[in-house]
Amino acid sequence: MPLYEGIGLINEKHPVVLEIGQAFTKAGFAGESAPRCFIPSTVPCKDNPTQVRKLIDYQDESDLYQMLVDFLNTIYFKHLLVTPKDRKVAIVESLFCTSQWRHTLAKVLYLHYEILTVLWIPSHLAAVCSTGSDTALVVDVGYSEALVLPVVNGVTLLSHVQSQDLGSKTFDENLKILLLENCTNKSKEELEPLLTPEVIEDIRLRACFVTKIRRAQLLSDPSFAPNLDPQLKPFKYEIDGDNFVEFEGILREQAAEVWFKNKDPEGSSLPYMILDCLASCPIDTRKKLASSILIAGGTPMLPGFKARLVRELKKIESELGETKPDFKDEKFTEKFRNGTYEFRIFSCPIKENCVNWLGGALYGASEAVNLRGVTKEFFMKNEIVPDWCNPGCNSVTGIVGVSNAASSPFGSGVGLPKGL
Amino acid sequence: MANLQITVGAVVCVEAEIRGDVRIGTKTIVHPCAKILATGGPIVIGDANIVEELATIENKSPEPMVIGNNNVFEVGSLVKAKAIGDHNIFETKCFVGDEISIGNGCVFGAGTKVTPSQAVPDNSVFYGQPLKHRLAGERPSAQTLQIDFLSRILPNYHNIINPTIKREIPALPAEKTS
Amino acid sequence: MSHLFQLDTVKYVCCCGSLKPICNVYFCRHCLRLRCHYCVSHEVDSHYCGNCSENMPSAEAKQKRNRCGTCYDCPSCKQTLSIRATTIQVPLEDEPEKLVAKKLYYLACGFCRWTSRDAGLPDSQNTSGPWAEPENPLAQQIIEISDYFRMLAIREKNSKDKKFVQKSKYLAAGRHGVAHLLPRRYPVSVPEEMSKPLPTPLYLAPTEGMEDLPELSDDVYEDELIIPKVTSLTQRLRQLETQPRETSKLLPTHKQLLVKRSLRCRVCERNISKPEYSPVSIKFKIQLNAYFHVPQIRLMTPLNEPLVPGRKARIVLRLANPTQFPTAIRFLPFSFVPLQKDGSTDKRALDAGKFDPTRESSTDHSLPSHTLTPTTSITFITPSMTGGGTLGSGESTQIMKEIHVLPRRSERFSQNCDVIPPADEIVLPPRDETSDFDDFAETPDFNDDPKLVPWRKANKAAVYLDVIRQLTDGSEPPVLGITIEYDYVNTIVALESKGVQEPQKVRLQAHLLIALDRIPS
Repeated sequence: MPLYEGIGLINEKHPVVLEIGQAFTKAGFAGESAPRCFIPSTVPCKDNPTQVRKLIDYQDESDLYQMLVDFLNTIYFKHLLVTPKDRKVAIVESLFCTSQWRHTLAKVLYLHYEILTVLWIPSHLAAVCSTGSDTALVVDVGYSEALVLPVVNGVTLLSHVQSQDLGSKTFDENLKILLLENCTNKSKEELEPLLTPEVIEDIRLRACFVTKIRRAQLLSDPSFAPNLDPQLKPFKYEIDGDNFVEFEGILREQAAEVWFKNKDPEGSSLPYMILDCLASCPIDTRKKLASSILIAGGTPMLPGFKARLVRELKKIESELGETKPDFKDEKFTEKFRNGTYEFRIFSCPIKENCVNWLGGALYGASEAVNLRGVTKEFFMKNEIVPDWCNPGCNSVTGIVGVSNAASSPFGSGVGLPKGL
Repeated sequence: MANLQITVGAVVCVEAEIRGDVRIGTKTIVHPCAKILATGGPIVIGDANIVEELATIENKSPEPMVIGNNNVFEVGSLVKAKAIGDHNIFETKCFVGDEISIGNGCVFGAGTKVTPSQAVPDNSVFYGQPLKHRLAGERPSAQTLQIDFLSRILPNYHNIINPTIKREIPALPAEKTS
Repeated sequence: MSHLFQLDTVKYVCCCGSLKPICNVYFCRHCLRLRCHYCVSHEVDSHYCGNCSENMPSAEAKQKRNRCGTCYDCPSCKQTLSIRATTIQVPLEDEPEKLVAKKLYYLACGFCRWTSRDAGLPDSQNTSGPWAEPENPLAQQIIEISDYFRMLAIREKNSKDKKFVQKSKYLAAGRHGVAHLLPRRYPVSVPEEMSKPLPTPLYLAPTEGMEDLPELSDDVYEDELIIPKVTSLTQRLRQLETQPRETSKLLPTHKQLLVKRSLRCRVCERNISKPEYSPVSIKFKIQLNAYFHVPQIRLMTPLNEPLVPGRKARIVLRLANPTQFPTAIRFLPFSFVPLQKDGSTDKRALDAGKFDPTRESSTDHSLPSHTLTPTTSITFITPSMTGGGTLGSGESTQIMKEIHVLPRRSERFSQNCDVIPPADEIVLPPRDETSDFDDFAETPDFNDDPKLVPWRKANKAAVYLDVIRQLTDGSEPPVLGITIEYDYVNTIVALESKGVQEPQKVRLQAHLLIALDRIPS
């Protein structure tokens, strides 16, 4: 009841912080240390409410609009329990989310939910500020891709970004192949229909881990694999009341190798992505970046991941120093020959899957929402949310087609650079 | 020759359907309309078990089915397990397949169906749809008070099979043909 | 499934373009328009616990993070936990050899049989616990980072007050387009401000190198994996602070509250539905459902054979008047026009007989240009109202407002049958609750044409209607589009003017889509 909402701290309406990921959505309030809800980004099917549709499977813009309306309705009234209009919103979004997605989300927020101010925060910057530092090499392993992005003294070195499809989707596809190969009490044909994406995800989470670097070398060669000592014991997984499936233990350590196995410097492997990124960064930032790696995203929370990543980086770096012949790119090796880097990984005050969200919550709790949030009037007038990839928003003369200062997205008096 | 042995102290209602070689331990309660069907080998039920209405215990294999002590078979449960230990609970309408041997302190939740061949570890709890499995810290407690209550009340309203009279019960028609 | 209001058969078209059965539509008495769940704004009215039905003031709910103070959820399966009591024998303090019974309490789940003992929590002497709850061990550090950011933001805010500074500020940081979203590292770029060092962070997350990150222990390789001992994703996500891997570390959490919502019309900003405050009450303070205000239409006899394009058929509709005033209903051809900003598409879409109201409009937000196409035309027939000119302008401002504030729905609907409208109106008497129970009540005589009205009772009447199938593809199920025009007496005017003005009688329209091939209940 509004009557009791007294004065002072309790009256402060903290903005809502939303991170709508491809697989999971985190929602909560600014100034809190954990999201209030962490739910799959799905909405119930219209025709069949027992089934769900993923938000990312939208057909077109109006379909996405409807799904987002329904989805936010659930978040606001089932999880956050606040009236949408009353709160400002901080959106933590991927730097590479599509313009269509972004624009539709903006429309849902501004038009359907009548939100007055929305702060749009790129997820990697949010992640960096959750450490309290301003320099980090963000390694964000999401649903469909893994991203390595350097941030130096608060400046995103966007041109040095590395991205590969090494997200949980790829992991699960690889895991599925392993599961089919390593099942001991069911045939492939029997098992295939049982392995729904949910089952695979559950097995990834409960059974898989990132193995030691020494064992990984043996694993990569199939002839050595049987000689591993100790061998992992087989395990049993209960899919449902009629299907208890047994698997060879080896897949538990094999699955995560998808992140590390690639020997090709141009190809897809997390350590190489990091080194590639480092190599391309300005020379004075490399040392600092190498010692401030920040892992974000839920998939790398498997046991042993950080330990392995550090060792893997160190190993490749030392191999490069010796200029082994299998690395053809001279320039690449050149950069690593002289400096010995110390690779260090941030230990965040929150679990990796909430790092981005926490950054958003920190931003949301500060004045940033008022200073840099995009207001509803601005959106209604210009129908855009300023974006780094939109040249219209980044011209030196200000937003194209916007002439007066009052139309600045950042409230009154504060404008984008103009009139140089 | 099929026969029924009831130990003194057990309460077995006349309306219960019992077939084949069945031995029932002391303090065990068999409600009316419960079914204990030893269609294959014998069924040996231990002490202080409760078999509620419409619960079915069936042994189709030639091997004897041994049920320990302090188990509860709730209304409508259907249990065909190979062996059952102590302190297990079979909740309403659960189904337990015939290839399972059950340890101690297990709970099969209401409506669950568990069929694959396996030995269920102690203190397992199966529940939910789709089936979930967890391991409890301790086994469910014995239903001593309930047994005392039932053995006092049931004889007031039902005819009880007198354990001292040894009786032969008709063999199953299926057995006759074989 | 059969239902009194034929949920799937008769759909009313809401202003926003949604198709809803009458029990899911609201009627705003002030705008005199249909509204639905989609196009009204929702507000949180009151918080309550779904388990103990205890009401919680919103300030308290906020403080308790929307969780009930007494009820707990099972961390294993999310059912509500119940409190169990046990007795143990403890020696008396002054006479150690004497044992007394003492009651202890623990939490237990009736579904998955989880108990607070599984989590290693000791039994409590109180029914209310306290039970340990998941907490982030580093919560204090997060507060420190948060404080630091607030400080930076305030600095930036202060520096922004100096006008000339901001010009170059973004350029300093803006090497890439993300400039406006960067952390505020260089609040200002005037030399003296730049030279001021940034405050050092209160907390910096530590980094871990090789020596801090030991490789996995051998136990991982030697121990057998027992899946039930490892938590599932949903279990972890219910404890975001700790996200434990072992099931033994799951802790009970307070139950999440539920809310009662009130609904508000977006156009006139008045409440359309407001529940009573008490969680156990199912009544409403305000409830403007359409079935109290709009004539109810049901399909009595559907088509008995498929309708071939171009052919005619006869159906029977049942009308009922739910209001306290008599009404006269006239049938018209379907004339719903979706709210649109650009009028050019309207006619085309209508002529095709099939349209999607938001296909164009939800993607096209060219706000300044729009046409004034009324969605539901209101003709005032009471002379007590002032001249027509002012009315017309009032009407158009309302439509302009609707175009601006109502969200539009992208619901596809096809309408492939037309009605041959009868010339006569059907007059329905007001609703009289007693007549529902009086089988021998006199049927009012309105001198109906028996070719139009075959049956009549109290406020209800049946009507013969001829429908004709459009000359389009005949494979789709036949859907009749129909518009009804009816009298509505607006008592709000009289209420608000405290009886100075007469209740106003207006002529309203409602648009319906009726699936003709369904068997009515």
